[in-house]
Amino acid sequence: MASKAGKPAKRVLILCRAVFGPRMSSPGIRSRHMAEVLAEDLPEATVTLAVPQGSNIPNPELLPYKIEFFTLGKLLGLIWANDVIIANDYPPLAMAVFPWKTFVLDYYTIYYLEWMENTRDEMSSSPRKRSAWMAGARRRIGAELLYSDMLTCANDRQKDYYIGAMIGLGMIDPAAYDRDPGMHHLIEPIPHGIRPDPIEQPREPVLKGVYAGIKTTDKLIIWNGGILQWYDPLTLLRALAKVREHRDDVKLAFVGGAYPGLGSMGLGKRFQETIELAKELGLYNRSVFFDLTWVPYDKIKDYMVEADLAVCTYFNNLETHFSFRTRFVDVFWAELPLICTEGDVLADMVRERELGIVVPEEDVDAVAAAIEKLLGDREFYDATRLRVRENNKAMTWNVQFQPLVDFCRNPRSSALPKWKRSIMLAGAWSQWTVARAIGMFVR
Amino acid sequence: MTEPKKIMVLCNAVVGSKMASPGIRNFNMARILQQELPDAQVTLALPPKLPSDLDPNSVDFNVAWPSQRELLPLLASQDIIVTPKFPIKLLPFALDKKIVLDLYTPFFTEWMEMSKGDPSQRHRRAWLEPKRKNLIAQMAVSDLILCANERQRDLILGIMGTTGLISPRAYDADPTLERMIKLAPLGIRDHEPVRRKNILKGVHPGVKETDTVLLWNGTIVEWYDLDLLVRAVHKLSLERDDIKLFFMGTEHPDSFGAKPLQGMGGGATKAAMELARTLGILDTHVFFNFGWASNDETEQYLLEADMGVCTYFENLETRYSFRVRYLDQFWAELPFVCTRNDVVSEMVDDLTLGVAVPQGDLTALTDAIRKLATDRAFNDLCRANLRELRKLYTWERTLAPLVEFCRHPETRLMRRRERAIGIAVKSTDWMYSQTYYNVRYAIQAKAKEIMRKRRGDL
Repeated sequence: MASKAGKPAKRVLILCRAVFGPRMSSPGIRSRHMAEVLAEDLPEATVTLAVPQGSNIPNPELLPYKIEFFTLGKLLGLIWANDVIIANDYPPLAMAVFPWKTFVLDYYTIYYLEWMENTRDEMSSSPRKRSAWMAGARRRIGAELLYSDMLTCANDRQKDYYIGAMIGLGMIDPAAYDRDPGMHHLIEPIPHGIRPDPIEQPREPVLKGVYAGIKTTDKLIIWNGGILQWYDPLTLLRALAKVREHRDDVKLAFVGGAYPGLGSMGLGKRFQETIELAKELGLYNRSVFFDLTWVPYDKIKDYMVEADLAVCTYFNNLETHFSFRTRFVDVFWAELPLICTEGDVLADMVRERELGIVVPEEDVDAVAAAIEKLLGDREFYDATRLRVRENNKAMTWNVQFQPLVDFCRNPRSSALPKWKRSIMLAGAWSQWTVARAIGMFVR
Repeated sequence: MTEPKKIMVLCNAVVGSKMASPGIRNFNMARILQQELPDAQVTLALPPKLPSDLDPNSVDFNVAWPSQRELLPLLASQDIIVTPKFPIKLLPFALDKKIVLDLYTPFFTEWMEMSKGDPSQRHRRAWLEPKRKNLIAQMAVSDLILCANERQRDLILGIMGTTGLISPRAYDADPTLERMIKLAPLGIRDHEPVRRKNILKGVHPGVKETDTVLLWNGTIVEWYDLDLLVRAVHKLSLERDDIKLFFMGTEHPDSFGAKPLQGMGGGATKAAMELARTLGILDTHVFFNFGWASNDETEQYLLEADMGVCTYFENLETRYSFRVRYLDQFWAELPFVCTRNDVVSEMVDDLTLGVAVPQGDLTALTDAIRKLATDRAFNDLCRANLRELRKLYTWERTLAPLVEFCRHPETRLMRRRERAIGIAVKSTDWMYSQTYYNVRYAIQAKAKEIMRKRRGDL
């Protein structure tokens, strides 16, 4: 319950509704590290990680936290048995059943804008359906925000957005504001962290010498993660074609295509364009290679260690402005210099702390120059790697999750007290139901 | 020949020789619009209830003081209306107008701070709700929203995204939403600073020519931390006798009609005076200029002072603010001592414009003041950096997005029908909260007042 000064949480539930196991994307990865850090920092509490039924977890009894496999039916029991519940995707009804529980909403992206971008392509044939679907999505987000006692996001810009969202919903309580005028007990940024594992040379090569065309002496650029609508791999391909005029030992590997558990996500229009352009420029399977399966979380380390450089290009738009690209943290982990497009908070960090080179959007020459600089200037390259290593110390999961640890120790929320939210909640929930029903019927 | 474009800047604050930030901003909007669009007919509409010594003949644009009745026909005759707050009851008539909403501050966070002293949280909430809903209704009808910094922009996006004001159609037409929400910060005074005869140093009783003057160059409002500043000056007064703090004005120009020290910020001013008196430094080291400094006086204070000081707390108001007093410091190249957490304090750190200190840190604050007072080279460096920065903050530059919009008012992102629905839904929502407030509090207060008067008559 949203109280002024809460008791330390005895039982913490982390609810992971996305794919969990060896092949997982960011929600699963985040949940796993969250469970590790909370179990370590809250020895007096029981930490439970609930993952979808059928998730593949070898030796769950060896983990420092409890593993539960949930089904929708079991979910209510799990929430019942815990004090603080953390998830990034709640079934709204489940939240309504237990108004006295403390709900932490772990939103590390601006879902509304991300879905806006995703549906642009997928539902382009029917604007009306998309409109209806987005209206439902907006209400669902609104309902989740209304239910939550604490919101964690990925960076300061997202914090500003969600404070705006809370103002829009009428969730900023004057009394709570007086106690906590910075609203730290309502919204706090928790960026993605860097995995704690030490860097080890891979036991067997994964790219160099494995793909016909990537020699062990080649310089390897890695594109870590899927090719979604808002990425711009085409600029990178054109830059690579330019670099190839001078030297042919620079190879590019796209690693990770289809997202686990999300159907064809990652193999959409932008992906097709990339393949086509690679063929057109004569780079396909000569300088550019595609490893399309989602690489297991443990295995991706080998890819990173083998690579010499990471590049990620995208458009400087609203998605970029708010994003914290989780794909960058593994690049940082492997101490790789990064070439990325300007506009997001990590690009700002790369520029300020010189962890690589930041380029303007769609600037082929700048990308080509950056690649040649980093692969041509040994001294600069080594110095950059050292700076990345130094910078990593402040970005471990242990450091990042501190606000959440503090909240579990003392779950005091600055959200509007729940009984005051009840009318709004009822409104939001019914609006969501109606919007969803409309979304089903509109063609 | 086409009709000249009619643009109105609808202002709800005082404009004249004494004005605070809203007045300054609106005045400059009218001025720049007329200057950049000579063919347009620009009108600055001012509230008739507030006194103004603005001479309509001294400016190029039209000035009007429309009464409530005159307002509607005046609005109806315009093409574009620029305002921080459109009269909500007239919104239905704005369906075919282009509206520019000027959110140079996010307002909500200010209301939250302003209402802090309210003894009843229930009353406070009832007072806030209609204001919040009014703000959302304003957003629902705007064709362009102006804000002062990136953080404000993110905040506004959050409000709009959650209240259904970013539709897929609008998003596709403008995926960065840069056409919908633009940055237009405040600007600096439009003439070069000229130092004339001293009016403070060696003139004001207690301030010697050789003293180091800390200038509080703006209003005093509840959300500032005067307590800490007065204590810092006290601490410094124990080690040296030449550091003087001067508050430029005690009466907010927009709380017209209030008795001295009863208007906006009156309580905070009195508390600061009381503390200075207790510490024995009132009128020896801490000075208050009662009333409000005129434009000319303000300029002289700025040019005579050695540093500008402003202390506050880490809260939402601070996080999103862009304080107009800082623009005056840019203009006068006056080094900063300020609290961290707002956007300008980040600039102070990054560009070396002075010293930014953590909130509530007495030692850091005294150290900062001492550094700027004694380290001449550092003080000069800050001034040189401010001279560079100043160039970026002319009103011509900061208001360029507004001028651009008025030159080519684009077809609006929201369709007429969507807009009509927006007005209907959001103003109904507002009406509900406003009625609640009126019935529960306003009418009651009015009744009490009438009763009191009657009793007084008897």
